[in-house]
Amino acid sequence: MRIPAGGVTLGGPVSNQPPTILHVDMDAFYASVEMRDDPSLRGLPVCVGGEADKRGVIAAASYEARRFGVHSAMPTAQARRLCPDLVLLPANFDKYTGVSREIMSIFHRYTPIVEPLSLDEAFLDASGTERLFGDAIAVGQRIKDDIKRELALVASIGVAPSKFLAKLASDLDKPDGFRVIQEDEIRTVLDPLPVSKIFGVGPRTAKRLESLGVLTVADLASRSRADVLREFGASGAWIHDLAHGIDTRRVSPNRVEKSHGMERTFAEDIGDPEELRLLLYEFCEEVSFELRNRGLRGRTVTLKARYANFKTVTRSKTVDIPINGGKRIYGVARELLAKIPEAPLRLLGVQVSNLSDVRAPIQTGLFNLPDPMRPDAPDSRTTEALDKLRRRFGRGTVVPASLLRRRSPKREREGEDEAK
Amino acid sequence: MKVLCEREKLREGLTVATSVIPMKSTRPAVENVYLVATDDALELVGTDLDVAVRFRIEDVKVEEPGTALIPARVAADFVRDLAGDTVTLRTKGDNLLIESGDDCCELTTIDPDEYPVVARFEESDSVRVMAATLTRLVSRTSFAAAREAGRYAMHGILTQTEGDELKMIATDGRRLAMASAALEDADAGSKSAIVPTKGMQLFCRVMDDPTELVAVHFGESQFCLKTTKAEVFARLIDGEFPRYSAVIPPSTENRLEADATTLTQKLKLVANVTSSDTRAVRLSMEKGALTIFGRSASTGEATAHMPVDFDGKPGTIAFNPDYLIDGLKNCESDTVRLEFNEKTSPGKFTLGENYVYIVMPITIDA
Amino acid sequence: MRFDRPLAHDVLIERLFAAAADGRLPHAILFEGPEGIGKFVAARWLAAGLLCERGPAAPCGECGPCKRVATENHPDLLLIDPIAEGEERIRVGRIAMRSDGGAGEEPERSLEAFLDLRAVEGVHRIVLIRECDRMNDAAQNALLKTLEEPRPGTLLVLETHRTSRLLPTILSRCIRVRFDALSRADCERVLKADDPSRPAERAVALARWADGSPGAALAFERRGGVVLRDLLGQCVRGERAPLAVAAAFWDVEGEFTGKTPTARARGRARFLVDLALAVWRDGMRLSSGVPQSELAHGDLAADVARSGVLGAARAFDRLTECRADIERNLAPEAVVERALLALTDRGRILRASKSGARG
Repeated sequence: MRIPAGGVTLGGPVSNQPPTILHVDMDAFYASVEMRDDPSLRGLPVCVGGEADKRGVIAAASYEARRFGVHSAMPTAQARRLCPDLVLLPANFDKYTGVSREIMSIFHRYTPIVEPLSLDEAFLDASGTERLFGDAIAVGQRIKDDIKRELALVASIGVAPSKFLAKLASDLDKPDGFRVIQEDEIRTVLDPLPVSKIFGVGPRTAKRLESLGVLTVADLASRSRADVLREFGASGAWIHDLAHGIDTRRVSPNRVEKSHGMERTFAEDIGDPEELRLLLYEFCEEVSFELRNRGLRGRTVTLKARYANFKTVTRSKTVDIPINGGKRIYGVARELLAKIPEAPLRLLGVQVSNLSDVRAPIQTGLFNLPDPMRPDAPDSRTTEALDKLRRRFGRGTVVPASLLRRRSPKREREGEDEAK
Repeated sequence: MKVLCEREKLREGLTVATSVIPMKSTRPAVENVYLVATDDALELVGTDLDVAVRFRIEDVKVEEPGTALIPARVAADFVRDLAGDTVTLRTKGDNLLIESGDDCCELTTIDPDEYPVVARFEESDSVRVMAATLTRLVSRTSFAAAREAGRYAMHGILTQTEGDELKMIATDGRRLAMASAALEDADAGSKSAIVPTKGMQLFCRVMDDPTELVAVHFGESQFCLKTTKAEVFARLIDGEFPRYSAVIPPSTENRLEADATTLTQKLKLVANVTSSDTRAVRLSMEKGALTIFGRSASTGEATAHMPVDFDGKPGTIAFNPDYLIDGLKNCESDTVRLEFNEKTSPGKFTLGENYVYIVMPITIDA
Repeated sequence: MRFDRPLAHDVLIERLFAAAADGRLPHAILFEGPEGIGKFVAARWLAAGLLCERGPAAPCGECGPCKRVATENHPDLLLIDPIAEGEERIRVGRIAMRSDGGAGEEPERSLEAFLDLRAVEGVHRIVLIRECDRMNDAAQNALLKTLEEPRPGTLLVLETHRTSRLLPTILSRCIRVRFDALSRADCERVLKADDPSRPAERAVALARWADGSPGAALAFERRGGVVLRDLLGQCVRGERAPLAVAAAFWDVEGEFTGKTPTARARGRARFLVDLALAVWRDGMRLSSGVPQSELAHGDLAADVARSGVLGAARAFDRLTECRADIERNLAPEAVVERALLALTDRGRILRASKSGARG
């Protein structure tokens, strides 16, 4: 028996769920970027990779090249034998990283819960976007369109109730695919697939399964769990679950980020405490937005200050409950600023670390819970609405009133950098 | 000094004293036990500087009063393994001899002035209480005290008297246990001290007769206990205890009463699937029924149901199951009562008469 | 007795006792000044005097509290002494409790935990931190928390000869007490008190070489400085060939700290080069007219000065280079040979040393 849905849940039950997870995979990413930037390459079998005489391998192959049997990870020498007219380009990772960042920022327009797997691949959790953008399928369509329109690149997207199925879906319809797997079609999709399509079933396992007469996912699913467990141990439970479409892994946006912060070196040293506080507030708002945008909050706030003589001090404070609100971060940062010796600063920065997923449950405290920190306080609803405005119309749209009066031209000259 | 005493009594005294003496200390003198032979008694003093115990053996023959500081563990082990019924302790030059029948051990002593001063119990202004009462209050509260680094004031039990009542409160900042019981005195006035949990637990160990009437004294820097056999001292925590009264909800909108044993069993059941990083169970209540739900991203989910009396608005509240189970272990009645206002405000569990346990909920937002 | 009267700092200490008697003692005091001049001795003396039954005044040395301070048994005195503990750094765990003190071993007793309990015997709780600059940033920040919220009856005495390594925020929360280097006479007095069996002329010579720091003088002696200085003299005067001196150098008995033999050898080489640099500095001062009697190494300086201003300067440069090479982790044996060759001026030898030592 299940708990009726409604209100805040600990995460919904495994099945009977609408598809909310997206897997976005760029088609022949590196090659596509190169072909986009150089129209003369279009229609040609283009590959990105290392030179054959340097024992290079193919990093990415265009669909034209794939028709010759060329695929990624293949030695370039072999690719050349298959396709003598192959156009080989050296990899330009700086460029791909830049494009990747643009793609990720498109994802972030629709949901903060993005788990990048590589430069050209990510899981997204689109639950909770309904009121603003429609359901996950609509979000997937919009993302696909945005990428096409703004970046002139093609993405294949899978939408499904779980990560495994979403990834499978994006793969099924490639290239230029858009595939939704609804709860009730899981069996029809999965059953005919070869077992090797199951995440975690490599060639070895596939062979062993084959020797047991298990060729398709349907074969595997029809085996008793005990049998599979006996044969494959713990990993047997995993592949048996997947064969039944059961995958409870959540999309976790913070796989790599350990901290988020912002610092600035001023054109002229700033000694006025009031001005420093205002700048600090601005940085905190900015960091706070970034954290919320990534679905994160943190417990440690670090203030960094560099004096005119280049002596740099940092002070940190760890709070009991993770925070991501600008005011809360500023509250801690201001306290730290007051603790450092007062003198003109050439650099000021604030960083939030000790990060966690906003969806992680929080044990609240008895004695240290000022009202604005409560997740359901009215303040956080306002913040949510403001963030939506910021996402749609840009960061400058909404700023705290206290920051409005200091939009001096001096800002233009200030070097700005963001530190991770 | 020269003292004749029963081996068994000496063994007991050394066992109690060495139970607080550290194996190794940055202050080497405290690895010793301090013997004091007065006209009519032998005292064994041990301390680790946080707590100190002065064990008194009355039926002894003191031929020559005096003091000696001797290695605690060796002395305790030697006396434990002695076969004779009586033991003589006497100084010989800079050494102390422990003799029993044909057996003898000679221990080196050090200057007693190197040993920290251990106070004496002050009878004046002390408060009398049943040993069992004190022990019960400690066990009702100590589990909720903080253990990890952080605010040191919460590493102790706030111990207070008010009129004829003795009250103890312990909290780790996320939950709080508060219990009170009657003193033997009609009016003990209003006293307060934060006593380290470790000290309180030592007090409980020393009180071996629950029906004994013991005396406690709220000193300036120590909390002191006197039983017929021993005096025990614990240094107070120098800090401010959180303002606990503000977190105890004066009135509540939702009230649930459940069988304590069943609730414990169901909580343990569901807690099995929750992982250490998301240690949370959700209690959903409606008229007559409680549903306990737990899940973990990596392992799965679990649901349990049980009949309850519920009076309030149907809704949910989530807690760390370990906190609830800790409290329920101490539940003194068959049914436990949970009262709360909202899913984000503290849950108040009534675990017995004059015994409440406050637990902050876990909030989960999407 | 493990605490001694700090010689030559009487006035400072008296002033602190007077402040304590008036209840004007601050919560945190920083004892700063050159290394080895008795700052930590003074800090212990102050602590003993505050805890003494007759205090606050110079400790009697007779009462229980004095004996407990002397034997490091006083429960209300916490010593954080990285030198005695053989620790390079003072870790954050010594200042504030970090680990979860759950099951298993009792966490290390930290300064914070020490101050969290009320005093055992009296009202004072005192913490002494020797060479407090050995605290890393985390430890300093943790200490800051204690400094920011002083509790009544507590006194922190921090000792350092490297004030610049402390966070400005720590400095701003301490009352700074400056200790000066000792006069040569005072330094001799301390050395005589330290070991009455030491020949008087040895004490006089050590005091002169150590620049008013008895600690430095004792370290000089422990490291075999007296013999090394003789060897150096023989080399300078040309009585013994540099390479012979280099060979003899490694056989001189001396204590050097370090975890590996190489680290100890490096320390030994550093000591020699530093000594040679001091001698050469004096030689150059002598050439520029400073009276010989004012120089620590006046006797050797005269021999250095004889090689002429240019020769001395060239040797000094070579020594400076050798000093840098030690920090670059070049083989200490080679650096020592090169340094000694550099001392016996003359270009021919210098050139030989260059190819020989680097090869």
